[in-house]
Amino acid sequence: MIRIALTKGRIEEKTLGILERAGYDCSDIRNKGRKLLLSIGDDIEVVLSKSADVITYIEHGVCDIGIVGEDTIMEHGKTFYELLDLGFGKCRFALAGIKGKNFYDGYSHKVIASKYPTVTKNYFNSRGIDVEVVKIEGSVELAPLLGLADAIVDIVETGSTLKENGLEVYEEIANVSARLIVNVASIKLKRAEISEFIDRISAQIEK
Amino acid sequence: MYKLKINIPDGMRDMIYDEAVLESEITEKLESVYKNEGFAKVTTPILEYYDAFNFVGQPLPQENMYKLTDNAGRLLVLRPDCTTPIARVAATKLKDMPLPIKLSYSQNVYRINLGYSGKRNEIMQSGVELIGLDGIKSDIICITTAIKALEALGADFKIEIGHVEFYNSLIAELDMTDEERAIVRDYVDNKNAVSLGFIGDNAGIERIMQIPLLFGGKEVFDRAAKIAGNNTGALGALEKVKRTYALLEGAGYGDRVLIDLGIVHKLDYYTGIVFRGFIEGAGEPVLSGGRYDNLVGNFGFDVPSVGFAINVGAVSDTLYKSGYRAGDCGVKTAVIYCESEDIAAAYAKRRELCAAGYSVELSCFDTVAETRINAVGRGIDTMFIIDGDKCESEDLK
Repeated sequence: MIRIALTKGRIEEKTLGILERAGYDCSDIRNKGRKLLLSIGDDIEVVLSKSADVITYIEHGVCDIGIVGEDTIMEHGKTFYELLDLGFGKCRFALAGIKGKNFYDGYSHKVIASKYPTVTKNYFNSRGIDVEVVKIEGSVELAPLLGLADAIVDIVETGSTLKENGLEVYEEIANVSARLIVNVASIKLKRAEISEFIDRISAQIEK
Repeated sequence: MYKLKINIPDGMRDMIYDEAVLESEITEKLESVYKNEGFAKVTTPILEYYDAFNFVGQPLPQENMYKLTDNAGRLLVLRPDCTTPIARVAATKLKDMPLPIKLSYSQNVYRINLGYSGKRNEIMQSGVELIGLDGIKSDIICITTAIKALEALGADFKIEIGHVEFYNSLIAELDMTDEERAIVRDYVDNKNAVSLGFIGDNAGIERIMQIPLLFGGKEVFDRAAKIAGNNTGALGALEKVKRTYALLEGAGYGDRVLIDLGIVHKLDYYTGIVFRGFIEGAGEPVLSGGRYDNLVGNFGFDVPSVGFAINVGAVSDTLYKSGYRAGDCGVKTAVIYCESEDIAAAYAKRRELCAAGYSVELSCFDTVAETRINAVGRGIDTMFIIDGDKCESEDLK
């Protein structure tokens, strides 16, 4: 038996498409109601959860395989194997702020607002720049508009939210997409089952 | 504000009854394996100077260590690892002993993990160090001791072996900055061939991209040989893993051993063969070890060494969750109730029962009824009631 943790929402939708093309019966998930533990076929259980929890389940080994965005992986630790790029959910991490401003102007200590404080801290640390990171839970774009921060670090897909609010991308930080991750012990102890699953779905990934 | 007085710090545990017994039972089983293999036990202090853990290649970052100061303001740490203190002992107090020095240990280590990660910060570690020998024979002795230790636990397990020089030799061919090297190594460690592919503009990276997938049974060897090409360092490492595998297979452990040539964690620490052990149900390796020929040298005594550590905490959590309970080895248990004036008779009865193989306690309650309730609750087999010359027994199961 293997257990898969699947990130709810858009990643879930896209993944179900791939699973169905690979011949897995996803009717249990399509008609899930309020059930949390679901199954596709006899030997595969599926858990739907929030993205950061997918990583927690995989790190603790209570689930063997996880499907989660690279953005969440960059923010929340990495003691697992990252075996496949699922090719969807493509977007990028970017540093953005009020249009026309030069972020690096002046000597003042910069304040960055983000839902991803670790990604932000790592990015600036790796470049030898000290910044103050403020964690924001909701619409990060507000922070520079309200004068809370000099810039934001966030996921940008089309850039239209930034545009509509008079913001622009200053720098690209990283490209992200949906990934398949595997617990370090599971891959050794359940190798045959996990390889079969990976082979079947990797054949269905749109290149 | 909750009361710090009645709570314990993050990552700490009180272990009560079964859990406490299970952890010590596991430790005893492991120690008896080490003893049979000729390893002698050492203990080291819980407090060490921070300096002992501050050297190039030290795999544990300082933010994971609990620190305090001594009476002169010098920085101390709660022992974050057992191997380093044992290397210190070998390099100082044991340096005039004939080599090899074979040591074993079972003691707690302390590490600060991120909050709310569900990880223990106090972990019982048990393992061995074989100091003063290099060569395949000492590797094999160490790995077979690891296998016997996991066997003694009674759980289904696998051991995987690799060699750091396979990766090191191949990556050395590439022209890269230290920073790029660190990134590539992280990707190989996470078996993240996808992201390795994005580094792309370096011609040799294609070879590196295949390293993460070099794990499995002995079928891996042919693929690995192709990837190694004519790189003598990688071929040499591969040859060592092959020989180790063949020797372990010959010793009857073929079905227990896996290969992973993509093990690159703690690369600055290990210098040769590396291995890890997995048991069914634990989401992390419960055993990790390998050769670290530079470690003892940090303390001024330049000798090679190889060893491993078992995470007893992870083992006991896993066994406990799977329903395993310690101590249930068929010993009958009994409780004797008597009035105070009959205590002499009760002790006489106790001697008689002990001789018959019982584990016996005297009731500290004032009535038979209270004694019965307590004994039933604790799963005791039989109650004996002494009243003057009379002795009645009552089966509680």
